[in-house]
Amino acid sequence: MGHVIIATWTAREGEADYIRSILEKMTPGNRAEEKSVHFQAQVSNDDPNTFVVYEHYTDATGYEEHRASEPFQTLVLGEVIPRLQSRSVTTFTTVGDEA
Amino acid sequence: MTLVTALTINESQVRVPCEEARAALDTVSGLTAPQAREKLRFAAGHTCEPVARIIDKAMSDARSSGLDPRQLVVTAATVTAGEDIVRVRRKAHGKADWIASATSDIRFDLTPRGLYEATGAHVAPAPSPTVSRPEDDMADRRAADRDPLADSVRELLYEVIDPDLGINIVDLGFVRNVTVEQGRVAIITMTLTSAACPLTEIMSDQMRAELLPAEGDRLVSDFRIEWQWVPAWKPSDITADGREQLQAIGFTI
Repeated sequence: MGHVIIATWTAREGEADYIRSILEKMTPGNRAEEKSVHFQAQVSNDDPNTFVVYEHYTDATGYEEHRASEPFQTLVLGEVIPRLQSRSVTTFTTVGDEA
Repeated sequence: MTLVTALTINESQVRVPCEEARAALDTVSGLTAPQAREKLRFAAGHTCEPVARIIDKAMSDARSSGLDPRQLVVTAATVTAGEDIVRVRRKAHGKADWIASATSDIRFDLTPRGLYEATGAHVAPAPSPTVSRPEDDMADRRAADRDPLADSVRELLYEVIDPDLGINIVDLGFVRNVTVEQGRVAIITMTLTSAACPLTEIMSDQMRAELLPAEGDRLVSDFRIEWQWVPAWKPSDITADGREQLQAIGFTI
């Protein structure tokens, strides 16, 4: 049963470029995680400060393991979050069969 | 020998005028707790929700003490005027003023029915067991844990007004938690009536104006909003003051 996280980040003024670079840096590692089905970060077409991060794991433990990982601890908690003006994290479960 | 005694319920500063509470308790004296609660909640003419809620809680506490509320009769009610609760109504529709709400200190007994019938309710209430309130203990603990700086941030948020309703975001129940992290960054956990609310930007700007004024002292160096959409906001999140303000502008709530 897929476990999906959609995080919406709003960067503080002047921090969007740095956040974008962190997302680019962490994407390959996130995709390589054992329980990662899909990982994709996107930036809003209307507001360059608004990012959406879509994370799909095979199950909830995948997300727990991702949160415990060194890149999450250092890059997300250490580098990204202090540069955010606001953040929203919503969790979803796949309906029906996995694609 | 089994000691049969009455439970004494004491509630201070219940937000209901003294005469109203007294009249309400007079109408239910001698009724069992569930009958009293029903009457106070639904009877034509004399409903009194604040007192009904006290009976609700007392019934729940009685149940958890192994007592059957249906066997407990409301007796020995006394009501005295409590100290008014005075709060500032924050800039509701552009002006701040004071709200004073009359309160009552309410005390009554829940006497086991057999004892009530045998003695005509002349039962000396035992000093204990007084119904204890676990939620009060929780509130005390929460108060002890509170960070004064976070409280001051929360105070400032009373100045942030929902543009639709003209009522501050704290009284609307949108501010769920405030903490202050290292570096004096305030982390404000918030919700709104809907995740799709188009006003998040406006509120965020207002928060910035209050928390990080261009001139004058700043309590915090910066702030971050953590939006929380689950559990969803519900009308019961509105504070009593928020309700008063909504009622003042014509909402039935």
